[in-house]
Amino acid sequence: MSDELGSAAAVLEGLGGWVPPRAVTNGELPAAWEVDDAWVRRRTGITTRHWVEPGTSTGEAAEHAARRALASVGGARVDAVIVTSSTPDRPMPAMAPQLAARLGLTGTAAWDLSAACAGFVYGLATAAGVIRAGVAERVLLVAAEVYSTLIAPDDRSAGVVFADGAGAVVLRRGFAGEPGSLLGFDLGSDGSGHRLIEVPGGGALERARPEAYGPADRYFRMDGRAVFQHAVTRMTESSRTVLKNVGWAPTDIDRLVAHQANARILSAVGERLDLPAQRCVNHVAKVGNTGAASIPLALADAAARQDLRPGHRVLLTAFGAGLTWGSAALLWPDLTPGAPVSGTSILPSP
Amino acid sequence: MSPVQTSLRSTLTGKFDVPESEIVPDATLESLGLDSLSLAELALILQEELGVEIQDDEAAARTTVGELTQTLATKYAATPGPTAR
Repeated sequence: MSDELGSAAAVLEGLGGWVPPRAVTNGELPAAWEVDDAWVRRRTGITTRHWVEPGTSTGEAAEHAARRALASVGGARVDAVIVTSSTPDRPMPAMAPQLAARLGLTGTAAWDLSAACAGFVYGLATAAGVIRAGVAERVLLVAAEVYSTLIAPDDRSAGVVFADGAGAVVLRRGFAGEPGSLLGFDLGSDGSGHRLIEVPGGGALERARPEAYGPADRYFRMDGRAVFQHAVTRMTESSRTVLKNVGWAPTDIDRLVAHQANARILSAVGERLDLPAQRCVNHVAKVGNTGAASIPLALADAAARQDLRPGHRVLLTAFGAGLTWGSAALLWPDLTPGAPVSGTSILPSP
Repeated sequence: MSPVQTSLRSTLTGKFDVPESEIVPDATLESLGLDSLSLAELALILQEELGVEIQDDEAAARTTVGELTQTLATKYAATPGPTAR
């Protein structure tokens, strides 16, 4: 879908993010993984990632990011809260109502959205639809992950990549073409690939057929080779679709913010869109792959460094388990500058 | 040089920085310095350029340049002509 100038649209007006204080360098990774800094950098482009201290919930991570995003809009009242995560604290209930209550928003519409690493882009489309339908004037969208709970202790391939963090945005009702407006989306899925990235156990199916499951099924697993190829292909094709929908050429893109899965996937997508490396935001090096949170965290970091500037034409694209993928195009707004996403200090300072 | 040879050679040298002199039929992809993600990307690029499907075991660490060239040539010959591709 696309919007002509002046039609109703969701507008990005607030942004915040949080990573846990504990930064883990490649040299601090578990000795049993037998990896060194050069191996991890070459394979993933990652130098550090952040892991929560034991006992930290995804809901707590979400709350940190949400409070920063709300502070960036001066505490403006939101009337819908959406949380997206691959690592929800429990099968039921959803995390969003509890988050809303913690934020003093009891009574507000609140629900979770599940689309794995594509969850933030799916969430943007959902929030935009809710706003355009007149259900809400202002939406808080939070993407939060505590991936360190989901990685098997002996899985070094996933262990070096996946990490913890949360990012949040506040969207308000506005007009297409104004700074911050979301101009168009492309969403897609292919469930025939549901085994390529999965946590097979822990759900109703395991309870129904317990004999088919073992302890290892509670952990994340991924077919890295197939996922690499699907991720590159789907993010590239989806990006092209949304560019066509909004009438942009690849040369119009000021910044591509792709799901921060792995530096090599980011380069492969950028190359296929003929984008120079300086237009492709790379945040994975500093925080690893934070799942659904990776795009809002990358946005917060790039905005704080003023690498994202008002008026920039920004393309977001994501791919995740499901398989799911999606892209969105927006005009970057004039946000309050804050500290970069390192340590715990993220736009804006609380 | 056939389209298959041209595509494979240019990808190995241009994308993966493999010296031209090392691309010999008996060299395995692993010996050329390609790790598992490089193998995935090599297969993706060849699929995009040649319009053929490449299975995991057809471009694996121990696959030789000669074996991969033969596999690609067979598949490429079996695909529709350039106008259909």
